Amino acid sequence: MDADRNPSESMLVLSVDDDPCVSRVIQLKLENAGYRVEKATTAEEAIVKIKALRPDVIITDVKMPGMSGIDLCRACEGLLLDHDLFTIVLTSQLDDKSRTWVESSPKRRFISKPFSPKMVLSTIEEYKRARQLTCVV
Amino acid sequence: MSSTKGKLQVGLDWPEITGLMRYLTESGKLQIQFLDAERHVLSEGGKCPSCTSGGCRGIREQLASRALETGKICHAMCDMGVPVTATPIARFSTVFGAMLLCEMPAACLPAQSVSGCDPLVNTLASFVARSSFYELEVESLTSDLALRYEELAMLYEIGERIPIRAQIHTVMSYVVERLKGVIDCDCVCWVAQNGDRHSIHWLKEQERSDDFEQKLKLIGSELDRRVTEKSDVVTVNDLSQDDTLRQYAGRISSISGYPVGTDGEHYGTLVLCKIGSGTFHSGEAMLVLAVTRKSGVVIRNAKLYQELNELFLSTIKALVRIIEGKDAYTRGHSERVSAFSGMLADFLNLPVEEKEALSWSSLLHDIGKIKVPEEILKKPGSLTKDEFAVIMQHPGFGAEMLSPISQLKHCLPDIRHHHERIDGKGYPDRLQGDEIPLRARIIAVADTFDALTSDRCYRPRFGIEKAFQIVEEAAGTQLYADAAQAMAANKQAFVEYIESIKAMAPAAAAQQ
Repeated sequence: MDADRNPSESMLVLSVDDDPCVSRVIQLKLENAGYRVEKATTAEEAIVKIKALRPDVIITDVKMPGMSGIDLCRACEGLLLDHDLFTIVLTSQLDDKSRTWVESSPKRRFISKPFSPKMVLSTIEEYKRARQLTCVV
Repeated sequence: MSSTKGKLQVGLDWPEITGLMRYLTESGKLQIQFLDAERHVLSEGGKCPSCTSGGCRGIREQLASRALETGKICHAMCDMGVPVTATPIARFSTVFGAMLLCEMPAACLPAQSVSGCDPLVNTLASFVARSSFYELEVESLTSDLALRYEELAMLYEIGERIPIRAQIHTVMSYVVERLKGVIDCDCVCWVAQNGDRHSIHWLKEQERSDDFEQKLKLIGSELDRRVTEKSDVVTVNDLSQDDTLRQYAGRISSISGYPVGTDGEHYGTLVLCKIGSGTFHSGEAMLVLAVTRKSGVVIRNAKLYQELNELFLSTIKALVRIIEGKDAYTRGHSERVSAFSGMLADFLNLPVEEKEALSWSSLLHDIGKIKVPEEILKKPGSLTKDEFAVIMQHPGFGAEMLSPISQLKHCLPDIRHHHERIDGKGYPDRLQGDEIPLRARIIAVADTFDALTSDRCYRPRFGIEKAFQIVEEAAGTQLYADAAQAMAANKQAFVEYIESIKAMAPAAAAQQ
């Protein structure tokens, strides 16, 4: 957890998907719930935004032109060592190996497409509660 | 004119705006301000000496209100003599805000420029109105899309996520849980015909009361009756108009009932209620009907699966009975071992698939004895070394005999290894500890316990307490300790089972 981060500030979520509709739906759902949302359409763009904005949560598709969402997740691990980052992998297909990797950390979650926007929100809320709990401790 | 307020979307850095603004300021307009529908200044450009010194404060608000109310361009003069123009930003019946312009006094400018700018100002206002309007539309389409995503996810999950072994209650609680988040209603409930009515429902928290649940019960039964009769969706919008339902209505305004089922099979009715006000529409009806039909298919598949499973199991039982029928001493042994194994699996919290496999393995564990000569099996005294060598082959025989049945493939190791011992002194492969499959370890405990509590040709049965004691003593050496301990901790269940088959025995004997 960053010491300089203001805990009362709303969490920043980065939605990465080459389908703008998906990001738009996620943006609406999360902004209505009080989160700030940024969008990226490729993993490469996402990396630039992650470095600049340091989001708390990333929601990423897997199959995208260029770098895949899984590559993005792995890249983030090296990128933000001092930073709490929760990742939701949102995709219709995920091979067993990647899925096992995604689910091997409590900091990552797999949600399958077609997805329920409510479920995305509740997953983030759950993470937020868990994080607040550890902050208090 | 009735109008709604929309969020004003404007950026002074938009290229379309900067161009027009430059033109306006060059032609004598000093300052542009964008006010939202609540008349708060969102952004401004340019600099008016009157505004900067606060000379026009009163007039600005007043003028903006007038423009918003009338929907027309309004002109006025501020205290310092600067003409101010307010242009409404609106599209159709949605009002987004107003645009205020402060102009140089008319005297300083060529005559045509003051009023000549109105069309341009209008263009700018309608451009901003249009962008705001489109943004509003995108937002409403997005929220509609979000709802479609929710619906799609629900339909997908009802088919894909519910396991084939799911009971009807599991399926319906899933459906109720998912529907409540997608359909706009205050109560979702499933009414089944077979006694356990209203066992599953969801109700908005603020409406929960005993009285309401009582009414829901009565309405649910009546709706279920109508739905069953019609085999179709029944919707009653405005319950006060319905002679039968009026008396139960209370605060419920509308209800809709959907048959859960497929191909003539009816698994009850799904009831949706609206409380206070509101009616049901045909759009959501199609979706709910798709859900109830699909859950009907899922329930039927689960039933078919269960029936197939039962058929298979009873076929195996019949087969085992024929084989065991030859020997009075072992009659019923396999079914008892199967029952004991099932109880142990419950106490050890095994997953459902494990229990299912265990029920087959335990029933068939001794099937290989069919290849062991009867004189060895029924020999009253102790066996010779050679005779025992033959006995030791029965687990292998069993596994080999069943190997052509692909559905039983996963059970073969259980059958082959049910005579192994934890300490490695068992047969046929002298496996030890965890090398022995879990199900085989459980069968071994059940098998030993049944052997001890039954008469054998070479010895009479032990008392049940003695049998428990022997099993406990063998824990960790001959027998799997966890299962042996589970038995020790739940002796009563085993005693009751033995009592129950004893009670049934005379009836079975009479039948034969």
